[in-house]
Amino acid sequence: MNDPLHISLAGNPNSGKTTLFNHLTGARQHVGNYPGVTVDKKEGTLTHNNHQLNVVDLPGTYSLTAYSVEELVARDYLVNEQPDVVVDIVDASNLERNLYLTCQFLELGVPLVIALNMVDVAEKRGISINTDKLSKLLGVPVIPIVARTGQGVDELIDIVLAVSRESEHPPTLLRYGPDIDQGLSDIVPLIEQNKLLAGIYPSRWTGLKILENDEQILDKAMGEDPTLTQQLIDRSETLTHHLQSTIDAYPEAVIADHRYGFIKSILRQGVVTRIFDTDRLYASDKIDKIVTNRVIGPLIMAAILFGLYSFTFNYSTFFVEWLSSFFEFLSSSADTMLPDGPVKSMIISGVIDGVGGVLGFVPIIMFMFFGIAVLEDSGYLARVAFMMDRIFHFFGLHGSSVMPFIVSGGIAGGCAVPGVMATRTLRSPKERIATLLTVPFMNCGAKLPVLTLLIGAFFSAHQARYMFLATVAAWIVALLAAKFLRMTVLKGESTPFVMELPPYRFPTIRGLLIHTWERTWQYIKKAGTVILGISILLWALMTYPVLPTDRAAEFDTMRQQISASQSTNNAAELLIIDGLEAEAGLRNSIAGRIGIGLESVSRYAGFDWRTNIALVGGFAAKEVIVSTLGTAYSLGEVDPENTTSLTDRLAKDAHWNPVVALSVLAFIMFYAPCFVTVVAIANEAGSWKWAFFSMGFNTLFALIMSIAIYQIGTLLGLG
Amino acid sequence: MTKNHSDISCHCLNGNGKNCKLKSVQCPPDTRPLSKSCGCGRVKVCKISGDRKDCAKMANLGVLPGSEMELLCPSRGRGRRCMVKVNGGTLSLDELTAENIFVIPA
Repeated sequence: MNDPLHISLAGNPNSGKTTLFNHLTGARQHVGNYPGVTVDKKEGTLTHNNHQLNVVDLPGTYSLTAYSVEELVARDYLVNEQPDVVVDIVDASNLERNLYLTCQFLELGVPLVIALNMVDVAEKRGISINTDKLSKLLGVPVIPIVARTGQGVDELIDIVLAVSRESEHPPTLLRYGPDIDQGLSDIVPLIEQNKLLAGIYPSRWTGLKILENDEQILDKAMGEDPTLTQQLIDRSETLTHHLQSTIDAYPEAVIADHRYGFIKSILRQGVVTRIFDTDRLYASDKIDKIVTNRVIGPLIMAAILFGLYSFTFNYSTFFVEWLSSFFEFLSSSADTMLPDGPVKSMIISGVIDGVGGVLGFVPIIMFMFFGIAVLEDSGYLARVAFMMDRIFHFFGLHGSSVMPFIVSGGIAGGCAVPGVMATRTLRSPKERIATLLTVPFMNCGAKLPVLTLLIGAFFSAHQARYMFLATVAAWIVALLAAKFLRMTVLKGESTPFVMELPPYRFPTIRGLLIHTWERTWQYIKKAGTVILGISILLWALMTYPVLPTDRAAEFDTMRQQISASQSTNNAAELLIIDGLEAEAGLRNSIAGRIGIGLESVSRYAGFDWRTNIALVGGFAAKEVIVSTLGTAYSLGEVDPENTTSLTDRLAKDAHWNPVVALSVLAFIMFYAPCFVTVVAIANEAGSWKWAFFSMGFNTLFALIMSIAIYQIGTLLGLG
Repeated sequence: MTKNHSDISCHCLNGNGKNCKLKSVQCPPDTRPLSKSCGCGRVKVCKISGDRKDCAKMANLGVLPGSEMELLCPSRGRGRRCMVKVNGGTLSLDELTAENIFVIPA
């Protein structure tokens, strides 16, 4: 077998690029990241007629300019990695728009093959394309395919192999009108003579990018030859001024106009024949008139989102319980097989409970991502963003922010981890960071047992009303926090929100499963490795230093006395001793000392040291708050799902009252996200800076709110 | 394979649109922002204002002076977004963008 060929799949978003990639590579693919950015890099392999091909699925782009990270990634990959062949996937039913990117590949002079995808859809729309003529006019092979079914894909790969054997791929020279052409005639000879960026880009392409005011190319050129680059910029500015004063347009608009002109001139030469009127509204447009209607649209959206939520949390329950039972079995097996001591404690409490807690989220994440993949691949998610943009725009966010909010617990019971990961659908950086910092304010499923416990203990007469209020409060706080962030640390003009709405399509099962699995695997891989370390650390903080020998001996003596007394309540009394020893051990541990130390601040919000320990433990996972409160209140082991005894205990405790409960509730809802979410924020934001900011900002905000509630409530005598 | 050295230039800014000039001062009196083109149906872009990068992004999407598009979801009231069909694709534009696109009925 020869050396593997490197081919790249490029094309517009929604052109069927990923469908072709999945068809070509199947399970032989993996997802990574391009260096320094959070854009997915999908790579895979296939073997065709004894040739091995490495395939890279480039991010979907409309052009090769420097206006988005996806465009830069695609362009840099093509220039730096120089794939053997670039397969440009073109949507046959939307030829004019898709050929715009093709024009830019031709300008760059990359070895190109056009995969004319979705020819079946085009035929149904009455669009007939003469591929031979299109190929002749563009000067590159054009192969009709249907990526969903695999029709024409073998022929496509045959042509790819043939093109890879060609040595010359000169750039195509387009004309851009007298002003731009004159500008190019002036600057291209200078670029050639001085070999500016020679060996990286074709000189005419460099000239074109300078006229387009492409920041990345200008920076590179300035780094190589500042004097010449300044000379070129001066010429470009003269041209810009001329175009502004004569036709009120920038050079890039004129260039784009001529590219579209080039495309139209080709299509008019008998390449495309239409049976129907070009203005005809297709099924997608008709569906849009209903689902984006100002009255019916939001109702349909609410029903679909509620359906997604129900699907995720109802159908994943069985798997969550099964995993939970599995980890309980592991714990009990380890308990039986291992000798008592710190190693056993660490394996059970640190490793199995910690990793088990994370893997316990996997079924929810898989179901959630499957549901999102259905909405995304069908084209509906783009409509949700369209409808929600007006409300979210007011708070400095985008319409696309709605799904992360819903996933994180917008309808109580979600999870912030997939919510943070769902921010990948947002393209503008500031709105994306603002979204991923505020989604943890939602009431995730892990907070629900805690909310249920406290509301049940102190507001049992209005339980449903308080739960609903907690959900509304989460939305209000998240949106206001986003507004605050966008007015301060993420200050800046709102990015214009322009997106193409893909036509509605039936998703393929294969595509859905691949999308679901690749996202789930990323979660398991990235979060799982870090979580193991942090859960061991948390275990150590709540375990060490152990009780001094003399104090441990005191509890042993008490146990011996109870055992010797032959009382009928021996077992219950021994449990109380276990609880007291657990409390003493916790108080003596580093976490306990932190809890006591934090009292100097937390008492203003009404929290005692035991609550503080629970809140510190809650950083591992919010459910831990319930079990830690149980331990701290000397109740020994407490099942988070069965909190009745703790409810009674808290309701009767002298320190607790409705004001304290409300203050603690507010703090739990809004303080630092759990560490799994923090790791996810660091991964998605591409920096730990935002993860630490999220912990600090949320905790400070929650503390201020809790202090206000406690102090005002106490002042009004509500406690 | 031989490469195509094209000198085709049939679609250019100058002279596009019978009633639409490119300079804002020369736009016909019925020119209005897309955000206020309630119920226009088919419209022709007369001018695009705003940030240079945003203009370039719109140009890449085919929204250029002289290009025609269809308002699928005409804007109504304050803060309404626009959904337009241009070059065979459907674009969703926020109010900020729609305010910077000046159109006339096609």
